[in-house]
Amino acid sequence: MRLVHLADGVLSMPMVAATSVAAGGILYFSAKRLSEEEMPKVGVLAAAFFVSSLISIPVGPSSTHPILGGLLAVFLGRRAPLAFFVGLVLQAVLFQHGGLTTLGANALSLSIPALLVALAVGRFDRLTPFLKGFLAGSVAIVGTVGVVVLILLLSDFRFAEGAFSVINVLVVSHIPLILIEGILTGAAVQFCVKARPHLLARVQLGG
Amino acid sequence: MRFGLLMVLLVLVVSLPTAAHRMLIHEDEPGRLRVTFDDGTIGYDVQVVVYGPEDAVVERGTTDSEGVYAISDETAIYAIARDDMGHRARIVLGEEGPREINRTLNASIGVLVILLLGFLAWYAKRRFGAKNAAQG
Repeated sequence: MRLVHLADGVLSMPMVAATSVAAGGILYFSAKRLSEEEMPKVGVLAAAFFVSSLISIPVGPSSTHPILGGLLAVFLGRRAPLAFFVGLVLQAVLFQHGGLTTLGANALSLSIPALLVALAVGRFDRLTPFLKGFLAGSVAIVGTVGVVVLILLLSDFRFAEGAFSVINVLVVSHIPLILIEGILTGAAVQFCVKARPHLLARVQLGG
Repeated sequence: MRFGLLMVLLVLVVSLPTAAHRMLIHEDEPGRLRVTFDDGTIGYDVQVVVYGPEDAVVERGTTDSEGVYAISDETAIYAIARDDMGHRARIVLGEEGPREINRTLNASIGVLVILLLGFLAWYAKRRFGAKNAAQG
């Protein structure tokens, strides 16, 4: 029940190449015209993402950890992939969580949902801050699970076989994490709206 | 606000005792493999493929509820454990298992690296930004 960190040797070479190229494009988009003011926020949230993989949440006989996809999407907007990338590189090198050949796939699985959440979150003005954050956190996890499942299936169809296939296990086992991330992100957004509203990203994906 | 802080604290308190998700494979005794994760959870129902000379597969199976897999083939040279979630670990039989990682030290190094990168990027942006503004 440990998402995000696909290890070296898990993906086929064409999938490694394709995901690396796609992740490179998203990274360029994310880093382009990064302003001086955004840098500290990106750094702090990259550090939070980096250490979050050491936090383990027991779920049944297994465990999972916060991913913070929705949180970074809400606070960083289009800069979220940049923070994910830095965090993932350091996680792979320092903790051996994930791998360097799967860096592109891991980055994509976080970045695509985060960008979509960042795009959507500004359009729900009528929701309360907590609910907005809750949805952002939950939907980001659902999106990440979806992208990981897709990458694994495109890489090797054996992942779809059997009662413990990746689809069955990933989707069912991440329901607790969907709730936890929703609550965590909702609480963080609610706190920031009251205490430091300027910290929330003004999402301008085209800018 | 109090509710928000409470929820954050709750998640952190529930989570702190363990760490997460690097698959590890050890050889407890000759021919007896044990699969775990670095948060201490057991790697049960993990697929194990055992290879012999010339990288030929000599046997395959899954770990039991204790994360144990017993190798019966005597020509086995190395084994790869792999689950459906994208985790993978390899061990050469008779050799030492995976090295321990000092997570606290490495987490501190990682955070310092991120802060350093952030400072360098900020400094470069500030310096070149000021230079460009002066030229313009």
